[in-house]
Amino acid sequence: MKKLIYFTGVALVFYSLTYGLLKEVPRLPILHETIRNLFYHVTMWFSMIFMFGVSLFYSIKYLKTFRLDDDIRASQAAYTGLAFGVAGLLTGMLWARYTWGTWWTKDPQLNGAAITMLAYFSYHFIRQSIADSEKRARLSAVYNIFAFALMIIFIGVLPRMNDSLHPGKGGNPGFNTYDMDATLRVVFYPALIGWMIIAHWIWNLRIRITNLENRMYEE
Amino acid sequence: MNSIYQIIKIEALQDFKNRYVLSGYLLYLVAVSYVIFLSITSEVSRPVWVALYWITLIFGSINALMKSFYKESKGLALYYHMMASPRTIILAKMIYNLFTNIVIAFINYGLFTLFLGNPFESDVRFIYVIVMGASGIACLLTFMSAISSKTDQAQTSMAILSLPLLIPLLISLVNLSLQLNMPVIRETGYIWLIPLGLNFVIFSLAVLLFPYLWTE
Repeated sequence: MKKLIYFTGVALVFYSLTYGLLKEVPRLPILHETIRNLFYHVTMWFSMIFMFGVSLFYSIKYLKTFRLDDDIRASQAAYTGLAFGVAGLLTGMLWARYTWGTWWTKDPQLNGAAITMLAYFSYHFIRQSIADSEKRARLSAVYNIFAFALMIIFIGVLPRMNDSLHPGKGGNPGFNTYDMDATLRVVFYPALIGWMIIAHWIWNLRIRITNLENRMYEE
Repeated sequence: MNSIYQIIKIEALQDFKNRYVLSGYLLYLVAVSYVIFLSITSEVSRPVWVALYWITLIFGSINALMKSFYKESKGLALYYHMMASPRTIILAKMIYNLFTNIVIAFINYGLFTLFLGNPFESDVRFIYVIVMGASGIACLLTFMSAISSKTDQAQTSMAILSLPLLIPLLISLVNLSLQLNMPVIRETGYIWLIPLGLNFVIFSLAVLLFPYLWTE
């Protein structure tokens, strides 16, 4: 059953890669053909948020149950989210180069993205600087919750209060500026689901690898 | 309430006994202000002044507040553990660090005025910004000091952990400081509430999460 779901996820992503690049897209000013990046850049960020949400859930669960299994799930979800975030950043920078003319700019959304990456890289740093597994689990769970709450404020709340180059922000959240009625959504939603399934799969694999490594080191 | 006051008194007496900690912080700020004074060759515009002020304050606070949880000898840590609940401890430490940092932020403002001029002239609203900024920075750094004191590399992890989370606060403070000379404040007041809101969030999150750190 799980294999079927994962296979569907890969199939959906392949669909978005092929049909997304081939189909007709609405022509919007500035964006022109680059609106196709919607299927890749935005899906990366959604998958990242999904993974960080999972990580938060397991961090809170760890603080209730104190089982190391929950800690492994939380940390691997954070690392997977980090990988997707880096992919999101790179696709975003590429998109920015061809629409705004620059690789990076001072924009609330980009600031939030950079800080999220920095905060979760610090999470990785704090994990690898503590040797005792129980102490590491507790400290990283606390930091995860703290960082996640601040991230939500900084990515979700502040950009909506300020003007931004990013479409959909500056008081108008969501994708209303795109012609998202039917033409793009046909590819976007399946791509989104596909990437989230792949993220879940990667997370699952990472957990299993970590468990095997731990068992290897114990013997 | 009484135990919070007791712990604040202990903290204050400790800092008074080891005056080198706070005077080290002040000396750092004086030195940095003087270095900036020597490096700046022309008139400093308001955005540059504001940027330098907050950066100096943030890095100084990181250095100073790193010792907040780390400086205790084993005996005092055990004493705290037995005498007070973790909520009391974190409240007391944050309140104490908050007041210390506000005082030092004002001293830094004085230093910057001395060396680089006062871009706000007689505008006293910057005092609100200083109070909000210094208290937010202090609360966040106290909590990060609690986390990093338990790791193996306390100094580096303190800086690495706190800088990403300080950036939102920094951005909101810089924006607010630069807004002060506008004849009409745009966003009708939101921008005044953002540092206050961030402080509130940081403070409550730290108080909620600290008991999980303190179970040793």
